[in-house]
Amino acid sequence: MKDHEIHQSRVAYLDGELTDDQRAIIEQHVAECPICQYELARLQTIQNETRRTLHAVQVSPSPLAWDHLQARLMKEARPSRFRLFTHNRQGASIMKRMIFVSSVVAVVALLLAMFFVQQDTSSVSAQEILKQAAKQQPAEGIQHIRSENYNNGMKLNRDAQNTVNIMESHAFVESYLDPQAKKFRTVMTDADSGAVFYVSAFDGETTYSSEGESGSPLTVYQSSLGAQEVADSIPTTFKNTQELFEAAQNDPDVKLLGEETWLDGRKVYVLRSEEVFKLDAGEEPAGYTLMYFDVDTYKLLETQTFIVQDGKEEMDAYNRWWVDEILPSSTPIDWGLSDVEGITIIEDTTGEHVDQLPITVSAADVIASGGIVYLLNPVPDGFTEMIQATQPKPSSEEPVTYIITYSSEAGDYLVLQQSAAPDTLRDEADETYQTANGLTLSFMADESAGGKTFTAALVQTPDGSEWFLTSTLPRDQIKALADTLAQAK
Amino acid sequence: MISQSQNGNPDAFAALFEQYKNLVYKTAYLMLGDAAEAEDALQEVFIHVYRSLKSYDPTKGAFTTWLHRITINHCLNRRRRRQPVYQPLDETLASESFTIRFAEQEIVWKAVQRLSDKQRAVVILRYYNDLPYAEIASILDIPVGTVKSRLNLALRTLLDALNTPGTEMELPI
Repeated sequence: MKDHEIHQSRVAYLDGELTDDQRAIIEQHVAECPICQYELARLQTIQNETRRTLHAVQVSPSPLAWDHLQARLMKEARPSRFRLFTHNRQGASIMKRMIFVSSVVAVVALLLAMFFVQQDTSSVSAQEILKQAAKQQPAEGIQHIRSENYNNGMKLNRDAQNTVNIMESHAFVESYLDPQAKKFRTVMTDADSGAVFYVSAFDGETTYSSEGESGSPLTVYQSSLGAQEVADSIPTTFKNTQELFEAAQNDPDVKLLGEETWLDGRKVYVLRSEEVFKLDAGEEPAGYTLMYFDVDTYKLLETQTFIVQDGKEEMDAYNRWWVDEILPSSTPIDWGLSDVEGITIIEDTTGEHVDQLPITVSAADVIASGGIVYLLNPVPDGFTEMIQATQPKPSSEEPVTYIITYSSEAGDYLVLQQSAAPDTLRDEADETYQTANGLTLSFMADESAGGKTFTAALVQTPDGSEWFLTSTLPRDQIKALADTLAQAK
Repeated sequence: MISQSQNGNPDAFAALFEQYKNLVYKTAYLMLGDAAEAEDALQEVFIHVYRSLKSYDPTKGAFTTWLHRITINHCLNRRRRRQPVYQPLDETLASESFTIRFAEQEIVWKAVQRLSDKQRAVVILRYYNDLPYAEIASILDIPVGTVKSRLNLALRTLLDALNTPGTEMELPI
């Protein structure tokens, strides 16, 4: 080995990368060469320091890395399908179009998307799938859900007449719910920035809410006021989901489009409902919703809402359930949010920031407190009456407002909710009806959803208060019942 | 887990990500010197892994070798796109990005960041990932002799950088 080769091999020698023969040559040379001894010492020091430094760098990926990855994988997996949807015409069967669209496009689409759609050859019906989905009673334990919600706020703004301005949003939602212990927590994170922008939690004694707040860190108000009402409201959360599936089950327009295999290997049923599930106020745009249920578990994995405008369909929103599991009741959950980064928890002693939930009261309570409510007298056969009072915020000068609910075992209801109505709503009335007791009912156009027709009216009482009436009963029956509405005395 | 992932088992892929995310992220961070870039690289690497997992052949090498190859190549491409000309990194980078306990380590970190991309790759694979020369050669698709010479050059460069006035690294005189 020549001198320059020996010099070139010093690092490899220190790294233990030489053969025994090469090692022996180096060691023999170094023993006699003070320069090499010096160089080896320096190289060893820098090697050790480099090793130590690289290991000392303390970094770790974002806790949302997996969520982001999943979201991207799903996006990558499906672009072609979204494009196909966008070009479909109103009323066309999407899945059929996908199959019968020119074969080249179809093949490319299928290759790109790496999944396939079968025609509706399955023996399972849409109703059966929804029945199975609704059947899933919450097991004993803590429900843990991680979902992704996207809302393309642009769509509603397109109509110049429509002033509803909804921002595009893309968020991850993680929630835990223990219905037995009556505890929950929900944390919403912006999918792009990773910042927490909404939290709501209840640890059994204290409520945590960021309602109406924004900014970073996010202010979260903690309060022990109204704890009982929060606890009482928890069981209805499950009920609402059940009702949604049950309503869809009774809807003859919900159809099974077929089965898909997703990129990750999961097999899903695709159901189409002609409903546009939107929480936003204002006119419901035309469109439909696709629902994806796991073939094995019947769990709802995804919904996609499409809006049809000018003969074009565009996706308006989607919800994906990444995790939907029941954890053992003994699982330690930080209900008090102390593990959530990017929030500041502040004690709210006056209850100014606490959500005011309705409290059930009696008619006598209302009268004693000087409130005015109109009740059906007598209570219709088969119905039960419930009066709820909502307290205003401590700093507000608004009065207490009431909600009167009549509900039957058969699932019918009539609800009167006290609220000042916007003028625009009054203008929309298509019929006005005057009751014997001097109440005015302004009926809105009937709405249909889930195979049922709903009646809605604005009710003005002689004392000047305004109420919204919503009911599953037909308009004629509402008029007859309204004649029995009288002020509780 | 790897073969289950190859068969499209989503849980196995999630487990795979969980097991290797820190390794990929840290390697990317050391290569790129920026947390946001490393985060992005982590995503890109695993998307690549997801897409090409079926092409991974265990008989041709360890999974980690394959994963390192994807990670390092991605980082090298990224640097190439971002920074075509050699450019000294921001002086404040090291201390802002994470906590280094000792001044010496901060000096070394800055010097590592100033190495050429190819030299930094061999340094990271050798002194962070503790890989033998043969594996480094396989990852970078270069002969073992090149690994040896790059490491030599890299350590020389580090030594030179640390011997410049103003650095207080204690080296044998």
